[in-house]
Amino acid sequence: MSGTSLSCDQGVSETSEKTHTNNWAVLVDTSRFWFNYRHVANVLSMYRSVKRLGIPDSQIILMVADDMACNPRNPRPATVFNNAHQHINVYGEDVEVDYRGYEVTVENFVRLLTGRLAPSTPRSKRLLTDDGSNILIYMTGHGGDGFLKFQDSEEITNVELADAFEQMWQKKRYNEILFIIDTCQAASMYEHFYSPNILAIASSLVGEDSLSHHVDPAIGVYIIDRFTYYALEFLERVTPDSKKTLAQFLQVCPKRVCISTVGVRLDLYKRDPSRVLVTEFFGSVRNVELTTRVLDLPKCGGSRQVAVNKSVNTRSSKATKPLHYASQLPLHHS
Amino acid sequence: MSKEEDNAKNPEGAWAAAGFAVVLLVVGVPVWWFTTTVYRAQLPYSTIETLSSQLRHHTVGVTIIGSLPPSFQEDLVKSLGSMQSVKFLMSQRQPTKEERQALHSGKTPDELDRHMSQLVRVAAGMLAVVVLPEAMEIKEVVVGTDRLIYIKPTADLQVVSSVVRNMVMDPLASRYAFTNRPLHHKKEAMRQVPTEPGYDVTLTLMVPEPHRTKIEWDARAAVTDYLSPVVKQLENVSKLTVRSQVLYMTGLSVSPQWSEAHKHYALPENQLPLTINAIEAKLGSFVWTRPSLHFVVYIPREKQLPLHIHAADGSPLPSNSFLVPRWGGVMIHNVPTAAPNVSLPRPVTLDSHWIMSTVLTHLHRLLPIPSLREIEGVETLAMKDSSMLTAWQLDGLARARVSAYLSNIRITLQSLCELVGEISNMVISDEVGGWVWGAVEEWEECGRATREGRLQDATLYCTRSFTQADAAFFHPSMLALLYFPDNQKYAIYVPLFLPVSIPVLLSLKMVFGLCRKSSTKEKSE
Repeated sequence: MSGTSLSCDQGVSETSEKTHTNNWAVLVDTSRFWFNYRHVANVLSMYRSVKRLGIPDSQIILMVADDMACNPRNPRPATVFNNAHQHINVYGEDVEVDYRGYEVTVENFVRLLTGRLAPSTPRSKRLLTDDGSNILIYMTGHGGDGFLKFQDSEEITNVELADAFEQMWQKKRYNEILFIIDTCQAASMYEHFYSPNILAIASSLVGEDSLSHHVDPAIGVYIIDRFTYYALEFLERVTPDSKKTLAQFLQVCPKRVCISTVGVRLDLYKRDPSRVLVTEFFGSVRNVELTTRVLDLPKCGGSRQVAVNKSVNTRSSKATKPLHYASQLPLHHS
Repeated sequence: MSKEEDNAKNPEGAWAAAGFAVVLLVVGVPVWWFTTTVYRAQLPYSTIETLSSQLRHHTVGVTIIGSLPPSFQEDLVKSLGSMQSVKFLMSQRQPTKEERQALHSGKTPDELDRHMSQLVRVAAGMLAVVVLPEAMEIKEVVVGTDRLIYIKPTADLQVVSSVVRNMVMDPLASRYAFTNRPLHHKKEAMRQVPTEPGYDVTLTLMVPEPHRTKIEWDARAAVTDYLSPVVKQLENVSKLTVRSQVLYMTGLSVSPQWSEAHKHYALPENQLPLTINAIEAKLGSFVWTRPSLHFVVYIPREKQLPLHIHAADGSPLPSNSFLVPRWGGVMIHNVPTAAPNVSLPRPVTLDSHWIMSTVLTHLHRLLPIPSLREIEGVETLAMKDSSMLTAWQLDGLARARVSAYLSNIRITLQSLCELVGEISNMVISDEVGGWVWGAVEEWEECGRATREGRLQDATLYCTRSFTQADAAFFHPSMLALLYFPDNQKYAIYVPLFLPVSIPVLLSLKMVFGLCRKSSTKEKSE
């Protein structure tokens, strides 16, 4: 009875080093307006990858201003593409945006992370993690030295972000966090982190700008950023049972293609990235335990006969009453 | 010189400057102070400090009925004393006449246990060890259904000691009570659900081809017969809400191989970890915010019947089910393959007893209910005619949960105090203050009840304290973002007050100069 097995061609193996029991993803796009199309494409492409690798929608929190697909300037309405060849519509038909439009604020983001939400908040807008959850946090937008701009009207500073993570750590709301940020001067955002078990990847160092990849002449704006483009190229080749490691993911965007230098913060993360699988953050691979012994219970059910008789009676009485649809429109009978 | 002459000519300027200074200090500063202090309810910081540093232990009273060789008793006391989080109070007494009669007349362990349980009343949270006469034909150590352990004088000390220890509290829970962080790389620690006051249990029956098989299973009766007694027993320790649903047209995406040797489809173990991702979205866990446990019963597709899980060594698993830590369990229920010309959909009944046994096995491992399976040489008696837990299992679970709660409450309240101390202008409303005071009081009571061995009281106090502490910690007004930290206070107040204070301070210099001049003038006059 164990969750480990010898390495096989298909399926998952070597789960003995895993320390988490479930996976969550928080994907945030902090900008709005048509010319920031690429940020929406970034975050929706990540969403697609993460869903494909197995994290269910109930465990993905997607915060997007969501003003691209139905924007009057969109020549292909109800679609968002991340590639000039327009192979994949990353908006799709089953995207579930949890915080859209003007709900994407700094306050909502910090409330989401620390769990201090109003009691009436629905479950889909809550981060219900526990001490065995690995969380992938991906943020994209416009940033500066020490801050990230939210929707052109406010900012979140690196100190606030670090404090939010510390509150999460103290209340044991995560096991490990993989923090990826794709903005200008992104490395400044992870400078002040002081909680353990966080691995941070930034698309550019302080003083550098992150650049976008290419323009789609049909749409007229830049449609994807460089770091996310190469990260997605890597993730496209990852399958749910893949053995690719985080160390390989960290090499995904060397300077000659990314132009900016990818910054990584490893001192708070005590595991070796070359032994951590990519699917431990991007996918959802559970430890299973085979049940070797089942409890030997006595056969219960003396009261079942009575129950059966009762249910038979109610069923027959229900069958006599005909069912009909309620009227959809209030009709006035004269 | 001309300035001084001017000043001498209009002492009114000096009086004006002095007046400004007085107004600023006497009226301005208090008004500013009162309008900018925030309402902070008083919190019991010192009590939280004291309670945090107190060591907690459970007290369990063990009564030995009968006589054991004194060396045995001493060794037992010594080996039990080494348990960190539980202190044992040993006492001894001789059996009464009726008890002696019952001991000699009992033929089978069950009969003996039944008689003795009626005669010996053991309070909740305590244990009793009954020494059996030598001549009885019974295993060395037998654990009864109601907090009684029957041992023969020739029993192995190690076995008895480990039986008592495992009965009293899960060894992992006892280690957890002393460390702050969860124990990583420990499969058992990752298996247990986090300790919360309530859970939602969902039974899901998955029928991927309802047009071929019509499942007839009375889930309500099965739950009432097997699960409801356990749920009722656990009401005070952890509230379980049970729901059930049927999922049609949804299957597990697995690719089993036909195994000629076993004449069934073999599902290798390494395909299991990815099976539940696809169905997770359909199980309806988005409806409630309490932690949920899912138990799935899967009827395989017609072309994959019969389906059996194979372990790593290639042998089929008899139970055909697996547990997903902290999530629930999945079992595969094979149905007989359809005869060629039968009319579809064909009715199929499910084996309630097997399904509920598996569900309860998984539930026992998730909660976790203490079990003595791993100890050799022990016979454990189970309840007859019912799936209910034995009294000592309930006690063991309660103790583990109380330890987990105490540790959680301490962390929550300490973290809250730190947060409140850091942001000195954070509003602490009366609501939050009330919860914190309530949580601290109940925490104290729980600690006391634990030390005195009153397990039921301890469980009640701890649950209430934990709920209140969490409510206070996660109150929406406790967000640090809403308040600016101390170092930004200067950035806000300096540009406000400096332009006002500089002229006043400079003119004060003039006032002092004038006063000195007038005093020297008086002196000279």
